[in-house]
Amino acid sequence: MKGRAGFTMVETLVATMITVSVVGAVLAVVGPAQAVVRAQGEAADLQQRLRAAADVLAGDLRAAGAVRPYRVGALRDDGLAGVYYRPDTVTALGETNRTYYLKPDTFELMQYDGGVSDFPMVEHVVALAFEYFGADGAGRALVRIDPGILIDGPWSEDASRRLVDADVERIRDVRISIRLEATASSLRRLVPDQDITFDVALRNLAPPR
Amino acid sequence: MALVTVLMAMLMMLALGAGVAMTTLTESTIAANHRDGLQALYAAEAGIDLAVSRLRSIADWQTVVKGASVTLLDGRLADLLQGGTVDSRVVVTVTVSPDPNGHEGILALQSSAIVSGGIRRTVQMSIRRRPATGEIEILSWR
Repeated sequence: MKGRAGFTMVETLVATMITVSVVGAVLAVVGPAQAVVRAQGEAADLQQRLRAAADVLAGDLRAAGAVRPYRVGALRDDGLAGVYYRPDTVTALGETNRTYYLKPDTFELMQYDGGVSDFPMVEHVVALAFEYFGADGAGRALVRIDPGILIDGPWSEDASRRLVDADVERIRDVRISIRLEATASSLRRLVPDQDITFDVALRNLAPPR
Repeated sequence: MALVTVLMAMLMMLALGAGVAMTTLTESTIAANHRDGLQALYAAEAGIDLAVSRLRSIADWQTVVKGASVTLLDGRLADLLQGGTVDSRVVVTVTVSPDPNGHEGILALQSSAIVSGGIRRTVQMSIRRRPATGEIEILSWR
């Protein structure tokens, strides 16, 4: 036995232990780092979806000729069903009508064109809410219009022969709140939900200057 | 052996770091473009509002347009507004035209703004004067 080349049992064990602990240490660092890299992409996607939602909503509302706090169109029209207010729905009336609403079972922000096209625009939307502001009786200051008085009449007919509440025609400004979550549920600890609230003044209904 | 292990580990960390840096850079570029777009839109609106305020002091609009398009404002927004905290690199051009449908009392305004990043936004507006009060009324905005 004596003089034969090789390692003793103790040497092999010690070497194995050292290798295992070094590799383990490297993996312990790389693992979370990899999650951070994935979270980075996820956070970027979340912000992009938020920007897209805010941009499209603001663009359509800014140029709207009038707004309705419910769905308007050929399919499942709210007015025909007797619904004149939904907190998570807005319609911008204009050259083309656009209805935006939250589909609660799939958490999608939907865009409906008033005809037959009704498609999801942004996914993983946790919350969507609209508030309305109108000019007060005397001056030009904007005051919040309580949802209750948007459905209490007096009613009149608009250009497309739909019933519209007098207070809906007072709307000059819409406050939009959107809340999004990360796409991958495993990353929601690293990428928290993000929300944004912003006001859009209806330019076509601006007071005379 | 140790050298190889360390080199491998460093390579891996470098790749991860480069990945994070790349997404961060892309993200900030997207954010900057978005901000520039908004800045250009609001600058174009500022230009059109300035034009409306100038038109308010002109009694007969036909003396301005004389049947053709006229450039009413052109230059850096900071100069046009004379002060304030306006980005000096924003350039605005506002043109005024007679109404395309031929109505005498109506003017069509178009305002274009370009910001430093080269992003441009355009706003179009048609206005008229209310006969009774003389206030300027916006007929359409887009």
